[in-house]
Amino acid sequence: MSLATSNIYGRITITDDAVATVASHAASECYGVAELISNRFSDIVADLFNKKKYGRGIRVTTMDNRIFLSVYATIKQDINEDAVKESLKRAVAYSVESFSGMRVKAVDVHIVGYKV
Amino acid sequence: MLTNIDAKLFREMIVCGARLLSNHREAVDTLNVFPVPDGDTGTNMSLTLQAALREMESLPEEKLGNIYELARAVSKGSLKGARGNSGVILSQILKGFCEVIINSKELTTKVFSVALKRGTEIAYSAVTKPKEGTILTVIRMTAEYSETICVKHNNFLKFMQLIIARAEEVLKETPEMLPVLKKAGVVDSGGKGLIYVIRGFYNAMAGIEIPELSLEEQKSEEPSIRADVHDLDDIKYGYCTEFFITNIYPKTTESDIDKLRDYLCEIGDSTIVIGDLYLIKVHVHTNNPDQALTGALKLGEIDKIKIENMLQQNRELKDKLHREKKAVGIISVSGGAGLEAIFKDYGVDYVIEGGQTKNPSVNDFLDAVGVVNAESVIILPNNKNITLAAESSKELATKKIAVVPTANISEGLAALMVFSPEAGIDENVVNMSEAAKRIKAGQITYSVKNTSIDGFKLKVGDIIGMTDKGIVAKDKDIFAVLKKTLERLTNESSEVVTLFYGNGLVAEDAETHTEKLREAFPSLEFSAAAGGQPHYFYYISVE
Repeated sequence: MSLATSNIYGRITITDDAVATVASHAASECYGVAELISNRFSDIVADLFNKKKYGRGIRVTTMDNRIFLSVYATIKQDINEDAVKESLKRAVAYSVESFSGMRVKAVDVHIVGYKV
Repeated sequence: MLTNIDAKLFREMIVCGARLLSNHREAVDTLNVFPVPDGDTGTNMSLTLQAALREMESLPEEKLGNIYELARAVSKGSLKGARGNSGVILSQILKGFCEVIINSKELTTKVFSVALKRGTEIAYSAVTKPKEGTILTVIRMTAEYSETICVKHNNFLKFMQLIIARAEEVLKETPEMLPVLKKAGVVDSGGKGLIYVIRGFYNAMAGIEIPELSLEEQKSEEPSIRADVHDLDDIKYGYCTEFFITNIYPKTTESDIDKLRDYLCEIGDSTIVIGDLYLIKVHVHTNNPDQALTGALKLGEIDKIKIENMLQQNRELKDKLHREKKAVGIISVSGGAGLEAIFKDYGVDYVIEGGQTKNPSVNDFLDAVGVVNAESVIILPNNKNITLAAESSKELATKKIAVVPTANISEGLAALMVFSPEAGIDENVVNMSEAAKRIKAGQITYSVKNTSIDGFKLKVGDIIGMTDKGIVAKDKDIFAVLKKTLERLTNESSEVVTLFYGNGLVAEDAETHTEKLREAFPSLEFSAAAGGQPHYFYYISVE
């Protein structure tokens, strides 16, 4: 699936991959995030071959031109988990929204581990 | 037979629709309680349609004969001129309606029904949270119904009659769907307005002239039903904010429009954001019109801003109701359109539909009492079986209620004659009760079962005459019974006899009957009036 909109010049389509790349980038820059964890098979294959894959740790779903994001990450130990989650949500939603101009409806953050 | 609508007729339809709506806009205004009781639905809808009409009439001569151009103009004009919540919804209905016309070769009943359906779809999609029991429900159910009948009826006149009947039915049900309407004792105002538009269409097809009424004449057509706005919930959002976004910035995308709609939903309700990348119409009820404007400024330039203080409108409405409040109002029970009109002529504020076979409930009385804009209310039950329900409403109502226990229509009318608006409720009740007692009443009806009663052996279909003493006459012929009943009712002191005819009798029947009665009773004065009541051929009052 992808997002579609149009302005006075014509149609604009944004693929889910593009959204994932932006979201992944924003998430990895967030304070407290140690690593984004892949949950897709293709990422694991890419890992095996030591290739960089964009959009790591992000699952994008689009419906009616609205974006639903899931972020899978490990965070550093001994910092406030809720605070990290909250800032992750905001950072990802903001960057995706300002990049794509589309509406982000939900950002779900999944903490899958801690980095000691 | 009218099976196809051409450009000339289409133009006439819009003209008639606009005129009929404008003639009744006061009546629609008074029903306005949802979403905000600010009493402007009729005016807003009327102005919206007027704008469509103006746009259409301003087309150059050569385009006036082209139905596609006309439809395009109506669609555009109504969008540009849309005012208020219901106005915007009406414009969307017209937009969908015209869209189908533009894409069709000819306008038949089938296309008409598809057009109604498309209008419904567009109207629903424009509203963020569609609410049932409003103009939306009326157009939707009417469209659904028209779909089922359009194949069978290709004659527009019959088709439209059925559609209007269905729309009226749905309108009657709106209070059941939207509690706030029931509370205020009214049907939905937007739906009512829509029916006037459709009726206007029909009048154009049937060639019925609609007079242009001045404002005073409109007022005189006023029904005395007004929405009871006092007990309604407080207004949550105070400002009705409306504007256009024009010259939209090139960078603005459709998604930005969606974002604006989401934002407006957060800061208010009744949000409608419609349009394309060239012109957007925004309508929202909010407490922060400034924020709504700021949000819109990100998309383009704003134009034709209208911000109304609905709190103030609501206050004025309440004031107006308060000023017009009568000291004593009257509620009466009767069946039949003719009698209803007669009662209203005699100053009854609200007529409850009912009678021998259909007794109104206590709740019906309470609803009616709520609607009548008066400090105290006199109820005329006009039937012994109904008196109890009327009496029971006394304790439950917030207003002071008195019941004049009239036993039939004739007594009710007699009581009304002596009603004086200046006198207090207690004085009136005494006078009215006395007047009701003075009158002698009779009814002519027919037997519905084989039975033996009051010394008469009755068969089904026998015409019978009744007074307060029971059955006094029986025959196969209406006139014979009428004469026998009158012999029992009148004496030397009787002067005037009034007959109200109904149950299938027409004016000519009543005319011949009264003529014969004048010969039979030369000392009495006779007059007959259309009552339109079911089951009873005649109601008789003797003074």
